[in-house]
Amino acid sequence: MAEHDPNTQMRDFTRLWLENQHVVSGYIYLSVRDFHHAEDVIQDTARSAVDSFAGYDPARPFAAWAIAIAKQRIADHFRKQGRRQPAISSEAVDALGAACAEVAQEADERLHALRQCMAKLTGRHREVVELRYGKSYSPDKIADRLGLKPNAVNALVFRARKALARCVNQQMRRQDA
Amino acid sequence: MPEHDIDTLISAYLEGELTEPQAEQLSAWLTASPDHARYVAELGLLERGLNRQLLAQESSDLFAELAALEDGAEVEQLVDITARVRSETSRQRRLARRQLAQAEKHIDQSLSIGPKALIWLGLAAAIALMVYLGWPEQPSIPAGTGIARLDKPSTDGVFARPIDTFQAVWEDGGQPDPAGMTAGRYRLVQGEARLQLADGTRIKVLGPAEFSLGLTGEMDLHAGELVVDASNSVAGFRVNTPSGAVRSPDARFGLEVVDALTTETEAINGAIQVAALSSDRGLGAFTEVSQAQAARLDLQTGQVDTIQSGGDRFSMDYVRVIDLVDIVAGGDGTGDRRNAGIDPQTGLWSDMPPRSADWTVLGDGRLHSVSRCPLVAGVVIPAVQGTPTELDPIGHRFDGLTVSNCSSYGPIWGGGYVPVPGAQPELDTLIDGVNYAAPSRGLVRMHANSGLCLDLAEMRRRHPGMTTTRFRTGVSNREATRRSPGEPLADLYASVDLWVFVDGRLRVTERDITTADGMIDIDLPLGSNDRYLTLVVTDGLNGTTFDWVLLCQPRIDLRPSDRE
Repeated sequence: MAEHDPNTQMRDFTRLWLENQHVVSGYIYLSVRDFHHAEDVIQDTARSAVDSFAGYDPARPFAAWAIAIAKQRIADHFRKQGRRQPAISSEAVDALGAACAEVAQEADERLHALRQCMAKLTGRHREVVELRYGKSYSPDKIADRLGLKPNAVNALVFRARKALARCVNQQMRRQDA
Repeated sequence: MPEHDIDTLISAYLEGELTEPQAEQLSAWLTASPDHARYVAELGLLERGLNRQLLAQESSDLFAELAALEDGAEVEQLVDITARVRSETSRQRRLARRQLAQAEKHIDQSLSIGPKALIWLGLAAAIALMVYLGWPEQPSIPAGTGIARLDKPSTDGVFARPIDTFQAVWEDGGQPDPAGMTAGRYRLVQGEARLQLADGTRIKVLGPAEFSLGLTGEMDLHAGELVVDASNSVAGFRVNTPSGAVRSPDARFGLEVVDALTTETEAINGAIQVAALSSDRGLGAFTEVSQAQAARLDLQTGQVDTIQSGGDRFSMDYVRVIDLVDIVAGGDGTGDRRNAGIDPQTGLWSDMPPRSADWTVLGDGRLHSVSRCPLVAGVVIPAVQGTPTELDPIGHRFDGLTVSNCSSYGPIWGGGYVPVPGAQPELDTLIDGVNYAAPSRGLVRMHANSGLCLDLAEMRRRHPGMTTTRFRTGVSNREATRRSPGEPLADLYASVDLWVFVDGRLRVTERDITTADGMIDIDLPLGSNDRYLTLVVTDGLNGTTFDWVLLCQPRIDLRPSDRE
């Protein structure tokens, strides 16, 4: 960065981070998969990005720069977890990164639509979604609680997720119309 | 790769349970098309949204629980709640750690400080959670209700200018002066007219309608239907009717004077404010009606009542709606016939549902004409996957329909009510809060496996000067059977597929529709040369049990050919 005033740098970083956080966090989330771990990695990435910001070239896209940092933090995360890298190929992860950047453009609208769609979710589907995401229960624990088999829970969660995705896309189409 | 396999892969990926071979398959699929990656990215965003929204709700519940504790609360309760706060996510724990550490320190010191102090420490922890997770959304505060009214005549005496008309006939054969419409009362006998008003507002009047102009920024509607676009108005627009008033600073809205005592209105885009007139108290207070909501103004009670809204009752465009429920029930699409159906096996029409024993019908994959319904080109029970099914009378066929057995259950029915055989429970027609069995709505019931072919060319022939432009419907899979009383209408395996063909070309597919999907909207553009529209519901290769599908408010829009 040409600018050396720390306050100005911090202000610039904050602006760029806020503009691009959906892209970066979307990429991390899809790579790490666990919501809570992903949030940790996002924080680590943000911290590293702040530390390295003096070396950021404003001519480069910020998202690409931040994703490069995120890749290192994701690797650190898996190393700490004693797990290997995400199983999908790096090309697939890159494709997801590009897709996240695209989806991030409409993230606010999508999250708003999700709120409306959640209100429409009823019955067992709502129950499993609340247990899975609200209480972070494992499929086994949900199965115990609802008297179902874990496979049935996974199927219910997937169907509910698909129904919500379909509903969100419909809301988006309505907005476009 | 089949859609089902992809779903399995994505599900395993999102659950973190992908095996090595699955990972290779998924990687190949993700890199094959940007659309594939985008689909997964959308699901990823959805997951994060669910986590955030629902965790915020959980934290909000804890907050409420803490706030509800009395001064004399037992220390154990506080320990329990702070422990629960602490046991939230790892990220939340870190954020709340300082506050919790303090709380624990004080708890360890037993009751050296009072319970109230502990409550506040607990609250601090909960607040820390909420700060990071985001506060639950608060109900929005209605915007200011003041709308300036320009109670003065237009400076040049002109209150409106016609923009264009469609098949409009004015009273006594007269046409509005293109140079401008002055103050006065106007009656549109039939057709439609769009007018530009002096303050920038645009309106569309649907005949028969009667209205008065005389003030800038408002008008009176005495009878009929009106659509208002106030988005370019100088200071908002107001319509007075015999039973109240509707106003908005900038919204698009429609209203209909149903009779001398009742007005119905719907906010199309943006919020409106409505007030009912009362015969003894005059105009009541204005209340807000949100976008896509509807209200009835009742002169007898002086009340504003919320009514069901489909969000599309009014439109600024010229459009003639052909109601497919009316067509299935034996009409020509312009009436409101209900409660009759067609046997998909034979094409026989009846206003009586079949006897219980006759509901299961076997098919042959061939189109059967329906002599009683002039706009229905035929019905079909599709053949099993891999065998051609006739889609229309000019020989288009398709062999990829997901049909596990060439049979169906009950008639293709235009309701009104939905008949069920014997002692089966009634079908739930309330979807997303709207009852599609209500007279103002309508539905076509199609069970898997059945198909309905509509004659678009005949529709155009019956409406000279108009052309078919859109097919629209909501689609919902409803079960007819609950396994136990009170159980939600949901079943893991009751999925159906919907197929929409135009002249043999597959234009829309919605696969794997279950009760969890609620309502799915279909909106398909049609061309002026399209001849046959064929709708097919299939069992998705998992049997026809529970595959009760409702097409909700299915319709075809006709518009003037010269405005296509």
